[in-house]
Amino acid sequence: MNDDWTTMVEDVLASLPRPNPDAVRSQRVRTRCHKKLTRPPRRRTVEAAVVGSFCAVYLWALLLMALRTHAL
Amino acid sequence: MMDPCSNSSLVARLQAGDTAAFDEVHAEYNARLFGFLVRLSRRREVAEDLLEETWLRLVTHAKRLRADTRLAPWLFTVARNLYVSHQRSRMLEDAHASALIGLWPGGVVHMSPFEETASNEAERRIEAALAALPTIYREALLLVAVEGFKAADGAEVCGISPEAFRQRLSRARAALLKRLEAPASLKAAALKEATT
Repeated sequence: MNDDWTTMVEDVLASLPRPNPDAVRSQRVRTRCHKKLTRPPRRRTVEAAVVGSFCAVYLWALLLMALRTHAL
Repeated sequence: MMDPCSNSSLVARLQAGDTAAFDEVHAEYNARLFGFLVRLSRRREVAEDLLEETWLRLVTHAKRLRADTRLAPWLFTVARNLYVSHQRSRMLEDAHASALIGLWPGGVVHMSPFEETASNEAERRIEAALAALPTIYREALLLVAVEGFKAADGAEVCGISPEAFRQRLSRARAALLKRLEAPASLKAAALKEATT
């Protein structure tokens, strides 16, 4: 394979025109990202409390059922 | 490529939710990521969707970025992984459709939008040859020859060892040159495209 040819191909690859994304959409994405970036972190304490309560109730029911099954 | 100092300062500012830092990163990488994605996917609308998702991933993960995160490989890795996921779901759809229709069981060669607009002959031929390469070769060439990544960074983006990446790159170069030596095959690909 010819070295000049290989170099020419590499040069053309390096200088291929850079396509541009849609400007309006890019602006919309930027605005959306700004909002997401500045939004305060969501508090997860309420969700955690609800899930925790359900788990406690479930485990308690499981324990009662086990005790009843073994007639203790 | 961004210098390590400004890179780490940008990462710190992104972690703090600085929108100006986001704008700097966006200005530096938006067109580059789009070029990578559009040549990888060969579809402008797909590239636009994946580009949007890449930026959203950055802001979603901004606070959890490690201080030593290098933004260029990070962004290109996300973009590439999004493309791979998209490709997997599309392959499932294509397999389903081809089973129904009984046509084109393999991947159809699509002309990239740049093949039609590239101003000079050499560019047009190289765009066509690049578009016809298998994805793993195309991404290796795009990262190193077009985007100027070092082989080690390209390997990080593709999730393989540097040695495997170098081997892949060398095969990609050979495959590209082989395709460029046979313009008749390009004509056949273009003809196939025109008849679909």
